[in-house]
Amino acid sequence: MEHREARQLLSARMDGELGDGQGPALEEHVRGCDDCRAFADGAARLRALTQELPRIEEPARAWAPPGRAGRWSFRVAPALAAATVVALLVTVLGPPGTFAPPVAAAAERLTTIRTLFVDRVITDQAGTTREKIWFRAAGFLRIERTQPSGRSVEIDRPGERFVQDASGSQLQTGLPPRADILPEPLSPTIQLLGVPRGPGPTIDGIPTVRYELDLDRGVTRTAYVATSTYVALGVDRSLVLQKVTGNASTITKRVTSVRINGPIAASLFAIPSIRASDAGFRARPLSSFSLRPASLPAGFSLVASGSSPDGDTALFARGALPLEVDIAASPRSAGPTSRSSEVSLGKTTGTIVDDLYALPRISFAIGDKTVTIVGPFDHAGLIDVARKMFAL
Amino acid sequence: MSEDVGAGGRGSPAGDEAAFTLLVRRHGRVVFGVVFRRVGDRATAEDLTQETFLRAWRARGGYRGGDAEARGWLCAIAANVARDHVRALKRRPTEEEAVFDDIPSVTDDPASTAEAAASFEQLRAALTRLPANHREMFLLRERDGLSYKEISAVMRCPIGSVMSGLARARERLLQAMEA
Repeated sequence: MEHREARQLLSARMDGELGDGQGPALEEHVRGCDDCRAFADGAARLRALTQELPRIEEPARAWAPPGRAGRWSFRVAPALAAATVVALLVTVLGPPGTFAPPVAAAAERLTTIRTLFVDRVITDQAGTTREKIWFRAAGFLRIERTQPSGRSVEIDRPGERFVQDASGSQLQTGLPPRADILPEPLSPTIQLLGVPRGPGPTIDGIPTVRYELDLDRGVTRTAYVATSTYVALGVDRSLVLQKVTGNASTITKRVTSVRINGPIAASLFAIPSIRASDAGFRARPLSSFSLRPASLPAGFSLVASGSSPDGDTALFARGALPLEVDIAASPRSAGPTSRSSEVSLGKTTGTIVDDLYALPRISFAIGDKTVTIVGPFDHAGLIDVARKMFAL
Repeated sequence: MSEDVGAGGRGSPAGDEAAFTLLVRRHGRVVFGVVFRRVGDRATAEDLTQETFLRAWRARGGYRGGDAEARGWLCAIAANVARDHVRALKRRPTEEEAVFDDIPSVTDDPASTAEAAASFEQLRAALTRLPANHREMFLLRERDGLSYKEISAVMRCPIGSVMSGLARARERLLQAMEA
């Protein structure tokens, strides 16, 4: 018996599909063949591992049989069913009200930003990286990196992320919309979180203000912010961040070129057609959320709303100023660059998380759900948005 | 249709419906996976899964198998529904139909240990490098528990090809995992 035939029979035997009379010859071969015995052992291990592999999440919706004549199944008339649900909700709850979110001065500047182009140089122990960043409306971001290890391109569109680097190309679809798609040079996080400590150095002929940040254990950061232009335009010409961990590491980010509200070609955000992995987010109206906001932020437009296996997400925007609302079973975990603080929200309490590299967020529980609101607001602003949006 | 239908009262609409609901609950995930791997899009896969169950519902009178065979029967219908969809779109030739990944990444799964996550990722990567038909045979057998006869009906190929394809898939996976 040849190895190939023996392995087919071993494979069939473990599947309970071995034909009558094939056993003895197979046994004889396997007794004298280490390789085929190793194959049988390996195939058994493979089976155990495969059965433990996670599966793609089955959709939450039920597939109902169509039922007897004259009865609507939900899937036969989804639009009608959805319209009925919306009508019922509006009848019972009334339409949501609106409120004006208290936007801090630093974040208010974002409302005038429509597009942004940044060219910057990042220096750390690994060498020097040049980054070119294009931001075009909420959710559209392109970053080109040139570094010692090679070039890479990242393109974000609402719900999609494409990354191409030395290891190949990857496309992910069905992603929840994120407020943190806001590129770091445009983020007013530093001004919301940092404490101004007087004048900093003049960089590229532009005077700066020094901000101290101490968010994570043992790591301090100093940001030199060209306040006049940063505040006025979100960011301009020179923003330098220095990260100091003891005496060990320093990262310098120097913005060398900025263009605000200039035209940016839509073609820069074109994603090649390649095989995608799907994160499972699907657009759904706010009215279908498991928790429906009592009022919505005035002046903001709804960019996207929908559900994924993790919960419901809605993203609002006013210019480049984003406001994200997540309704999930559990809160997001805080990272090493985060600092948490408990705050009072009327009858309940919430947790505000400040993170150097992400926008501030507030989380609180309603029933068995955790609501998280993310936006470039200071603490008072986050509390106000949470209380008004969910009538706390 | 299934033995459960008999228990619920074959021919009685209420019995049929209860049995069918049980069938959907029991096999919905596997059917969804079969469709998803052929279309690669979650929303489309949801619609085609619904279409699969609708076809199965209409064809239930002609089904002669028992409950044990229902899974294979549903998978064969699901593969046909997905094939029809792909053919209508004229996107891909049928021999390259099963190309999409329905195994989520486990790297960030807090329930997995780092070692287990590494093994899963290794297997996942090895699976993506298999020829599409071998990969589908392997998943239908090892994850969905279909017999060779049922796999041959889903894949529209002789049982001998299933036997040789599965052995080859296992060999290649083991080689890739050991590399």
